[in-house]
Formats: sequence, C-alpha cells, structure tokens
Amino acid sequence: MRPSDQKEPENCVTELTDALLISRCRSGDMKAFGTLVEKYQDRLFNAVHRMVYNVDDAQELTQEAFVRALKGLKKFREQAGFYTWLFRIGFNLCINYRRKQQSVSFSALQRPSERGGHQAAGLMEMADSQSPQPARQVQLGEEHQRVIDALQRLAPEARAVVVLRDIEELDYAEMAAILEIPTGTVKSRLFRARMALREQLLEKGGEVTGR
Amino acid sequence: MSDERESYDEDLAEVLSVYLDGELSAEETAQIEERLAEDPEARMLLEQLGQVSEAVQSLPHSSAPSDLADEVMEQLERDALLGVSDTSAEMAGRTHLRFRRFAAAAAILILTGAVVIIVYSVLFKPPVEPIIDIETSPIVKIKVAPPDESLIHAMQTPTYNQMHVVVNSFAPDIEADQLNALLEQFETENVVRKVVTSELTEFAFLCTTEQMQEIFRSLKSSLSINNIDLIVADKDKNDILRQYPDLLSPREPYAPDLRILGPNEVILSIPPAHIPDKTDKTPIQDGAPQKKVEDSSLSLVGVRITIRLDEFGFPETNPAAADPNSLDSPVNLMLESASEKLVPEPNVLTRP
Repeated sequence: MRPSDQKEPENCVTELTDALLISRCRSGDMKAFGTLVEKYQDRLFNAVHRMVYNVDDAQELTQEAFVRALKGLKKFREQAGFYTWLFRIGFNLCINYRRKQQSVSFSALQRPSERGGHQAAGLMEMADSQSPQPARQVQLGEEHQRVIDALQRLAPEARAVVVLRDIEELDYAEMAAILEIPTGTVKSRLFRARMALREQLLEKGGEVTGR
Repeated sequence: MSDERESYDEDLAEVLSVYLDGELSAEETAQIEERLAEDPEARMLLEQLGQVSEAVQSLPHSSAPSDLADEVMEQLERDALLGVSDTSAEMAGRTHLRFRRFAAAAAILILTGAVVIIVYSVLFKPPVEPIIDIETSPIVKIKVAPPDESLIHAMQTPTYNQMHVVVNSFAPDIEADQLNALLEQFETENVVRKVVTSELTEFAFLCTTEQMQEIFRSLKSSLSINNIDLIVADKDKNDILRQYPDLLSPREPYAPDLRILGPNEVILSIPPAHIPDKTDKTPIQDGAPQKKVEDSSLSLVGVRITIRLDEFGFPETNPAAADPNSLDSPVNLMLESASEKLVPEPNVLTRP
C-alpha cells in the first residue's frame, strides 16, 4: 500500500494546519497534539515496523517518538516540516535501538514456509484441495517474509534509506534531512543497500522474488 | 550467491539506482539511457534494482495499533505527574546527541576536577606525602613512592622515609651500581634493587630524613646523573620544605590547570611560578664536591600530575603497592616534569 494520500504535506493548507496544531501544542493544548498523533501515527508506525520488525517494539518506539516530539517542540524551529522532525526522532530511535540489539541476533529455525506453523500448513492444504486463492496468499506471505528478512539483515542505517525511499517514497533531499546526512551519502547508502537486497533476493533464475 | 551476481560495476549500479529514483539530471539521464540502449548487462542490473525496489514497496502497510494515540497521551500524563524532564527530547537528533555527549564530558570534567582537588589536598596533608617526580633529563628519571602497606609499621618511626628511585638512562648499570654503593654507604634499610629493562633500574629503600638528604646531595655530586633535580619522599613535609624552600608550597595556593586525557585520566598542570627553582641552593655537606645543578638542555615550564581514576572516579589503587619490587608506582598521583612537553594553559579550577 502506498500511503500517497498521507505523504509529506505539500499544500499550504496542510502545512498551516500542522503549524497551527503545533502552535496550540506549545500553548499547552494536548488535544491539538492528539490530532497530530492521529494524523501521523499510521505512517510513522509502518516505517518503524519495517525498521524493527517486531510489532511490540514498533509500537513502543513510535510512542516514544511522539512523546519526545512533544517534549521537544520548543526546540522545533519549523525550518523543516513536523513530519521531518517526527521521523528524524523516530528513525534515530530505531537506528539506536537496532544497534543495541545487534549484539544478539535471532534466526528462525523454521523455513519461511513453516513459520506460520499449523496455520500455514492448513492454508497449504486448503490451497491444494480447494481454490487457488489461498495458495497465492501463502506464496505472497512467503515472498513478503523473504523481503522482510532481507531488510532485517541490512545495517540499520542502510535499512533506513530503503524504508524512507521505497516505503515512504521520499526524495533524496527529504531523506537527507531526516537522517541528517548529505544527499551524496543517501545515494551511495541506498545503492549499496539495494545491491545487498538484490544478492539476498535473487533466485537462481536471476529474478528477484518478494513481489 | 554466485560470483556472477557479485561482479558488477559499482559506479554503474549507483547511477542506475539514482536513475531508478528519478534523481539524475537531464544530462545524466540522457547518458545513462544511451548506455542502457546498448548495454544488456546494464539493462539487467536496472531491472533487478527495480525488482528490489518493487519488492520492498509491495510489503503490506502496517497500521498503528488502535490504542497507540491513547498510550502516547497517557505516557505524557504520567511523565507530567512524575516530573520527568523534557530534556529527553534533546536526545533525538544527532546534533542533540553530540551536544549531550559534550555536556556529559563537561560534567565529567567538573566532577573529576572536584575529585582531583580533594585528592590533591589530601595528598599534601601529612603523614601521607606527595610523590614528586621531577624529570629534567630525558635520560634520568627518579621517582619517589609513598609508604606501601608492608612498610607502614616501619614508617611509624618519624625519621624514616621510604624512597623509590628509578634510574633511567642509556647506561643505567654504572649509575645504578653507583647508587647501590651510595645506599650501602649510607646504611639505608630494605634496599631492593630491580633491573627492569636495559635502560631502567629501580630502587626502593627506607632511610631517615637525614640520610635521604645526604643521599640526594651525593646523587647530584657523585653520580653521573648530574642534572637530577630535587627528589622528595619524606614523611615530614615541613622538614623537607624547610630544607628546600623552593619546593611547592601549600602556603601559596595556586590554580592548577586541569585537563581530561581520557575517561579515567586527568592532568593537573602547575604553573611555572610554582615549579621548584632549577638551581639547588642547598649547600653540599661532608666534603662532597659542590656543584650547582643546572639543566642546560631543557627548560622546566610546568609540572604535570597524572591521576588515573578507576571506573568509579576514584584514584586507582594499585595492588602492586605492597610489593616493593614492583616497578609500578604504587601511588595514585605522580608528578612528572613537563619540560618542553607541557605549557600550562589558563587555569580553569582554583584550588580551595
């Protein structure tokens, strides 16, 4: 799903709305902040989830990002949009979180097709015996899992550029602003991350799976 | 993973990745499209990069849990009730992280400075004596250590001192032999000699204050290490100060310069005005050849005290302290001559 309808507000009305909400937040209006949370929570959560994989961790980090964003509003100078500010906080949390986790890594003993346990097995049986639709769902689930696994094997910094570009659909300048790195670094980091993903996703036939 | 997959033109791959994202200039776009038209491998690579990008894009969107907004608001309320500082927000960005590290370093500096001043003050309080190691020559170094635990009992005798002398030169054997003979001549007690390296010999021994003073004079006159400055390890500091009035005097408080070398190491610099005079004005006794000690090669501009702190911020306690044979200085503070190495910087802390 491409959240294009939620993409960085480029029209003046939305920008003004964010500015107005922030202004009210600064004057202590918590309801205004609640509106900001509701506006950006899905988008931030989705990106964070792709960064950290685990749903509970994603929720915790998203929550923490919003809390820090509000507490740091007085530092927010509005040179960048609230979205950039919020995502900068969120991605820094993710990158630092992943760094902490790097010393211990877990790998599933099951193959991706087995990861769903009995449920997946049941779906496969159903696919064999009944309609082709569940089989396609299982296959799609496996392909997505392969992509997610490949993403998780990237360094957090590399994963961040992939998520921001291919999931958030940001341009290089916006990515650079969020990650606080030069656009040249965005380019090289993204290309290397994609090449690493290519290596992991390529099948013998030379086609990338996961779609 | 086959070798074929690993071999690719990095420059080409990067340009293709940027091309895929539509971030090339018009001119660059024309160039790469020209190449793509005639290079099947480039086309293959572009297709694979595109597949990778699409694969990531195809991942299902994860919606935020329905209670996320409520949880955020509840956390904010909890933080407000608990009085949790809003400074955590400063930690978010890299710039803020850098600022925080700087602030932490500054805090460590101040705290360490306080510890250093306390330790420094304690050090100059009898009966625990300072260890003064004034090095005026690159080839000779004499260190004096405080009493170690095994010799505390002997130190109860007021006139006894423990000395810890290190002869460090290119020809230490001769000088060490001379020193050894000297120590025997003065009937010092518990002499321990240890050849550490070809350029380093260490002595530890007990002697009375009078003996020590004589030893120093003789060291300066009879050994080839003529440019030794003052070395003191005396239980009775006042006695030493009377003997050597130019030595650091607690009557003239000064503001040492403190610098952090590392997380567990700080340096205190003593301004030149408080450095002992280079010329020994003490009259030589017992017929020893009178000789003024002058260092023509180096100018002493400061004294550096190195204090190593453990992880808790306290001066390190060296387990080797009880071993008189140990080369490791069993002390927490060590004064080293600065010579040309150290120019005191503006003082940042004032000794209370």
